[in-house]
Amino acid sequence: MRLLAIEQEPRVQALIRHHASCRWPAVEVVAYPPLERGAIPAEFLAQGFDAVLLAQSWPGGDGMDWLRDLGNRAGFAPVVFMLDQEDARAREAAVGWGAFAVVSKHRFAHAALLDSIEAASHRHRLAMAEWRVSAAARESHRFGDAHIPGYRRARLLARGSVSHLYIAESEKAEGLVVLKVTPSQRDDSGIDQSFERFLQEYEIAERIRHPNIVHLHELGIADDHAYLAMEYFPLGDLRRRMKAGLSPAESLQYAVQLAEVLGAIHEAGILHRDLKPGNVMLRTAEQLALIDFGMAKQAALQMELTDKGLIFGTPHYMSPEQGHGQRLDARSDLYSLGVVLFELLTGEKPYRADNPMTVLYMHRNTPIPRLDPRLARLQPLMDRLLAKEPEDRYADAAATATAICAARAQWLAEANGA
Amino acid sequence: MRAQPGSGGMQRARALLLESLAATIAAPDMNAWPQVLRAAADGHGLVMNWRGLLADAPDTAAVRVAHALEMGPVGMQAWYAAWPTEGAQPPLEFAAAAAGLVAGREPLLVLAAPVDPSGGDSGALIDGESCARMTVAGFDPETELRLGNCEELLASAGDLVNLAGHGASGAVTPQFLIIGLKWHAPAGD
Repeated sequence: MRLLAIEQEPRVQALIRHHASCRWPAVEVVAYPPLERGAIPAEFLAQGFDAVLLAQSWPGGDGMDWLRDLGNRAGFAPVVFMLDQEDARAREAAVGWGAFAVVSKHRFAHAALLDSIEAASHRHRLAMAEWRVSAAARESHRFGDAHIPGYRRARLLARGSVSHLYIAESEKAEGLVVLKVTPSQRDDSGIDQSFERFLQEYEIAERIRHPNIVHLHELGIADDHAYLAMEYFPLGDLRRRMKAGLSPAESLQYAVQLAEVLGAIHEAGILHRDLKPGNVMLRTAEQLALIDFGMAKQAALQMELTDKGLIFGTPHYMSPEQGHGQRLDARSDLYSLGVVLFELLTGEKPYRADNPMTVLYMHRNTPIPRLDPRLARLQPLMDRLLAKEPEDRYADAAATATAICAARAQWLAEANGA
Repeated sequence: MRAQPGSGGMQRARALLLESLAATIAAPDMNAWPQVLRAAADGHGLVMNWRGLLADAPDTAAVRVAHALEMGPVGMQAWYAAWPTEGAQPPLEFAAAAAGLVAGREPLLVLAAPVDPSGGDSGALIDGESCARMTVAGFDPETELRLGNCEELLASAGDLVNLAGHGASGAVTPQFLIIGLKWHAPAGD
């Protein structure tokens, strides 16, 4: 038995868990506190759950509005609606909006709750059994040419040259995941380079357990395709967050997190090599998560790339040495962090030009741009981060994090004193 | 799933008491109860102390049991009672009263149940969080206890134990089993 409890109050979540465990000792109750988690993504159908318990209200929220939305989603798991108080009109309305059953949280009735859940689960399992053998189900497991059981396609997120990204609902994970699917592309030696990159990405994220790194759920193969199931971030990436506007203190706080996660990566002997706002996701409004280790490399392997004369990465965020195909170390990633922080603070990239080669040239030769006078006290920090020569930058990620932390503390102290 | 802190331990404790009750019901006669309960406790590395007859009325017996658990060592203690059942559900009255007495004492659990059908088909298994669950479920434990609404009150907390169809009738006087468990030492000990 697997239940999703959309309920803000932890004590009620605990009560539901206790009741359910009386009948189903191995029950899994996944709490969904709406204030912290926000609206349920439009693609989510909770099909991996036997039933969904939905509270009538929470501070500033109306469960009936949610029920209207969820009840309109074809295929959504049955909803057991939990009234705050017994109320015949609300009960009738809930049924009208698609609730499978309605119970009251006031004078909670054990048998009524469990019987409702059991009936909901029974109906859902029957519906799912019918659905699984349908043409629609087969179609929903199709991701391009790949047929991937266990994941229901919600929508295509992005189409890339080496892989496609989909939002999918996982039957095993708690909700939506991002599914990165790549075609099988064997080179002359018979090696599937895309799969090698997937494998590397999976191994890196698995090896470096850090709160600011994306959670990867599964690496798999289906038909002639490799796929990677990873954490979905409904709040989007740092680019989107920047558009909403950021204070200097928030920008510096984000930069501290990035320095810390880069520290963890570097400690494992790995360079990210592609740090940019599009690769930094928001797990919550406060917590960042770094994604995309497809470009990451063991530090010792750098020469292999330069020998081939290849340049990987995004020109706007590349260190001068990376842009010129020179040997890299951890300070290259820290330069990229400096570029990201500059953009967070000012809304603009430090070097802009019409073509990528000019941008690369500017990273090496153009003087470090001056910050707006109101940000002038952060200029020394920026000068160290964006120094042209690696030896003029902070020595490592820990020193960088310390410096940004100190700058943030000073900024806040002066702001409070002003 | 995100496991709740301590929920696994509480599940195991509840399972131990329910298994102990089942073993007692299956025992050939009352004389075998202490032995059966010791074996169940032993299986979890716990000591079981057999305390004999509880001669008090259910609400007073609840005080005696809660005190014994509070003062006693980690492990199981067990009693039996022979409460009259006319128009009453003594194990539920006992359990509802005990729930109030052990409220907030996380390591304490108490099970009270009839061992043969003449004592009814409902028992209860309460713990230190039972009262909190009753409150969250929209019940005021003291009021409901005063009104004698013990069955609904215990059900609201998920603490009712259904024993329909258990055991073989034949006892002249209904027999009730009461098992207390101090699952672990309270924090700070």
